[in-house]
Amino acid sequence: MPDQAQLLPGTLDLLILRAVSLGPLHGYGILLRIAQISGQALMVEQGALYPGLFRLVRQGLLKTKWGVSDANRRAKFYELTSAGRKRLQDETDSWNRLAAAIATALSAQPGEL
Amino acid sequence: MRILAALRARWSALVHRSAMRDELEEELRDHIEHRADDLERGGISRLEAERQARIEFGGFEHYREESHRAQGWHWAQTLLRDTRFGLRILKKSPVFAAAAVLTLALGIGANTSLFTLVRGILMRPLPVRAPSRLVVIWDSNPGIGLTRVGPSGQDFLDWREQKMHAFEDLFLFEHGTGTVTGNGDPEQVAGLRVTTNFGDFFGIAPVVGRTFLPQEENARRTLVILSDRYWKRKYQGNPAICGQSMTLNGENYTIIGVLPASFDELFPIDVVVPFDIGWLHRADSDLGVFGRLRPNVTVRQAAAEMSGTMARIARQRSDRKGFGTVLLPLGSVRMEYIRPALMVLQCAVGFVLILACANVANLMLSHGMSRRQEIAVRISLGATRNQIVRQFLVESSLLAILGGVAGLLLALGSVHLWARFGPTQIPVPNSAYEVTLPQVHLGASEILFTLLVSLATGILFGLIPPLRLFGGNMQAALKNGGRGTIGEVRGKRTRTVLVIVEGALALVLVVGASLMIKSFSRLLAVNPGFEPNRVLTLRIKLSEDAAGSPYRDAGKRGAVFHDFLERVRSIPGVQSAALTQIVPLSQDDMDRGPFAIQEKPGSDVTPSADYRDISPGYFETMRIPLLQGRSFAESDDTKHPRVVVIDQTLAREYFGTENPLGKHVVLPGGSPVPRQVIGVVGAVRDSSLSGAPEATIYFPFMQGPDQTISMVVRTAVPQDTLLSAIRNAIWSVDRNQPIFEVRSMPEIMGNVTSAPRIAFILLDILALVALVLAAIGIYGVTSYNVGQRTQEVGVRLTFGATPNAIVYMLMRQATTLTLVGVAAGLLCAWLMTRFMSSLLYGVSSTDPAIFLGATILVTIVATVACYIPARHVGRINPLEALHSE
Repeated sequence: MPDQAQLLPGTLDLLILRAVSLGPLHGYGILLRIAQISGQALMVEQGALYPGLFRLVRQGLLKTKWGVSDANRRAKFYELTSAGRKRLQDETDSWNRLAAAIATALSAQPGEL
Repeated sequence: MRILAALRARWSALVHRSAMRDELEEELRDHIEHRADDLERGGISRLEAERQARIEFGGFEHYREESHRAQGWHWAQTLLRDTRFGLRILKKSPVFAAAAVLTLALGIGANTSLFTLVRGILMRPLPVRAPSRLVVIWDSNPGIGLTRVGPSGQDFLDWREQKMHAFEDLFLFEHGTGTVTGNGDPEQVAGLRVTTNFGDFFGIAPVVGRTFLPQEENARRTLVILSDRYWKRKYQGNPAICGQSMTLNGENYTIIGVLPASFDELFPIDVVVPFDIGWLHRADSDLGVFGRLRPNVTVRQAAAEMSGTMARIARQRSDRKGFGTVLLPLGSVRMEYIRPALMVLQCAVGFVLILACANVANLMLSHGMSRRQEIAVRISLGATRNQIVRQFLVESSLLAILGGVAGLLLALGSVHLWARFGPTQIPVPNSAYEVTLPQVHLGASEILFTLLVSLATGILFGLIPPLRLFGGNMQAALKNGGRGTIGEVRGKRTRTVLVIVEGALALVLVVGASLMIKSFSRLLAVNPGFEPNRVLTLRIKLSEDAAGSPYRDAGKRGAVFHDFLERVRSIPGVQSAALTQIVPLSQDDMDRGPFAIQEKPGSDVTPSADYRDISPGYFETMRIPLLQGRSFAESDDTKHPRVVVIDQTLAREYFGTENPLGKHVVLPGGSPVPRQVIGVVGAVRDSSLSGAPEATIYFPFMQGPDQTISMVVRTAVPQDTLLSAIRNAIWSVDRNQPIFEVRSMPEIMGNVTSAPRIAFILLDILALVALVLAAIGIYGVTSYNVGQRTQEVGVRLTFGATPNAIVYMLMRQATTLTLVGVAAGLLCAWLMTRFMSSLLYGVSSTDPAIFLGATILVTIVATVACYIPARHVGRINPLEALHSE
């Protein structure tokens, strides 16, 4: 797949939280949602998603319950906890600050120094 | 049950790992199915779709493991694996495991036992509202040698009037007894007279009814509150008790409530009655006053405010000049007698635990040395240091927990023994009052404590071997095989420290125990001034308070006491019987006051003495020797001249070399009547065995008989057989006369020696355990060192060294270490034994003979412990030694 960006370390958690914040999803659904909201630019290796999910559950940022998917299959659904919601907010803010700073740094011209 | 089920689920998940795995696998498979659904919709066959989905997913096994780890179960599995491995190792060396577990069981068991006692007795809060804010207030007058005198009703009223800021409330009480009639046998009940703020002061929630109302102080009211035990015993716990009446001291009292059972711990009484304002004004000293401090006020602040108040009161009442107060927290006062003993024992069990740890660390070190090849192999196969250390820690914790469980059983046994043989009542110094010790039992906190101690010791001695092992060179060990030098040098240093510590701790404990032995034998050898064996004591109180009681007349009181005495004396088996106001050492109310000697007016010192009313025959019954003159006769009554007998202490202190006979003592107050001294008797230790006898004046009771008196009976046969005969003899004079506090004299003496006795018995046991542990430890270290040097010994023997020279060489090293340990122990003992000086009688806490004796004992034991393994090597065949590998 061309034009796909490599995921920076630590960004997977942020993406998962963001995807789940839009509504409860099962694992495969989270993958599709990440692809969709990133305009197909970010793809997560499928298996790598699960260790990340379990880590977030253990940290109390996500909660799970078993349900039935659109495809009428049994699936485990993930939802944000209130701690998860707060973490998403914090991580988003700090990501934006970092991105803006890097963008500024990269666009600096010799004359501006 | 739900917690148990959850635990079981978790355990099985952990052990079988299937439930958790199943769910995880199911979820991953769902993912692949969903992906296959999508791919299938793209137009490929189901089979092909599933294959592709699986490929896209990536390494299934890898992600499954990773996910599993992310769920946080990894550490538990590692722990389980280490534990299984550790158990296998221990099973392979059962002697090592058994020795370590037993040693730890001794150390931990002793600590758990003592923790149970300390927590149950010293740390247990009283069952009242905010008990930590309660203080006891005494009068004191250092100028005339009075420390801690019970205040009077007037003192209490003065203090209450001052509205001191430090106190939320003040409470006054008086212990006493009352006669209950009209409900079965006449009975003497233990009573408490209290100010009417009683209920609120202690925060009492009565089981039935109410407590007193503060305004009920304003007039005399015959209201009574029952204790739970009395209510259950006499009224079978009838809840409709309120409003019923009972006859107390011949008056009708209305029952208004029942106290909770827990209150028994503070005041083990039967009935509570109120003070009224008139009574408060009349009540003489020797009452009890408690203060409730405001929150965040310290005892020191309260004492400071109190001394200002006393100065103000002294300006208004000249008789209070020179008086101050003493304030102490209630909780600490109650346990003042037993606390030093428990604290000394607390130190001792701590030492025993350290000794146990040192021994086990030594065992672990030797055991670890024999495993150095196994460890080197594991390291070369990629095990990290952390993993090796963790493995050692798991093993030592396993040993410690097994030791802890065995220790817990030991503690259960000890607590049981305590309940059976330990003291149940202890005296409260300077008060006519005994505290009933609360029952101790092993509960959840004690189990938690054991677990914590076990884990702490496990970590402590588990860390030593790996730290020492990593001091050496792993590679060398691997190459060298069994003869590696890994860690040996540093291991030796650790052992050196262990031997020194063991010698030192054993010495401290042996010194402490020897001091207790010497002190206790001195205490038992103290001559109390009378012969306690075969003496029975009992107390009689005439119902003088009741309206219309014949005993309001002093003559009638004397006559009836005389009749009681005559009847008891005529019982076969009774050698003699007499009456006394106070039974020596019984913690009865002391009566003490000033006197003057008529023949020596204007002396600088105000003489003061204990007053005792006694009947004729008292000195003979108690076998108190008559030194000069005569003792009282039946004729010394109100119709004859007033006479007294003084004791040797008074004669020596106030008459010196003069002959006191024929001199006169005068008591102040009222109309001073001179009383002629007719005799001098031997001194008696009345208040404590360890204190010096106080100056005492004996009065013939017939010249002013009191309401309450004790009878002392010397019997020729065992006392128990005579008790009912004595009761019947008294009842044949007055069927309604209660008899109470029946105790034998040896029993009374047992109570005042209980704290030193506990310290004496337990400290001896602990010192013995310590000595044995130290001997085992020193033996272990020496035999290990000797074993390491077997080859060297072989070489020396081959080159002509005599076995004796070898033994000498091996022992010199060990003995030097022991001597260093003993020297360190002497210093520690010298610094520490002063803390037990309050338990010691007749021996200094740094008694040189005891220090010398203990040093010799520990040195001998340590030398023997070195000699046994050393001798073994000295006898070895040189050829065998050379080939030993």
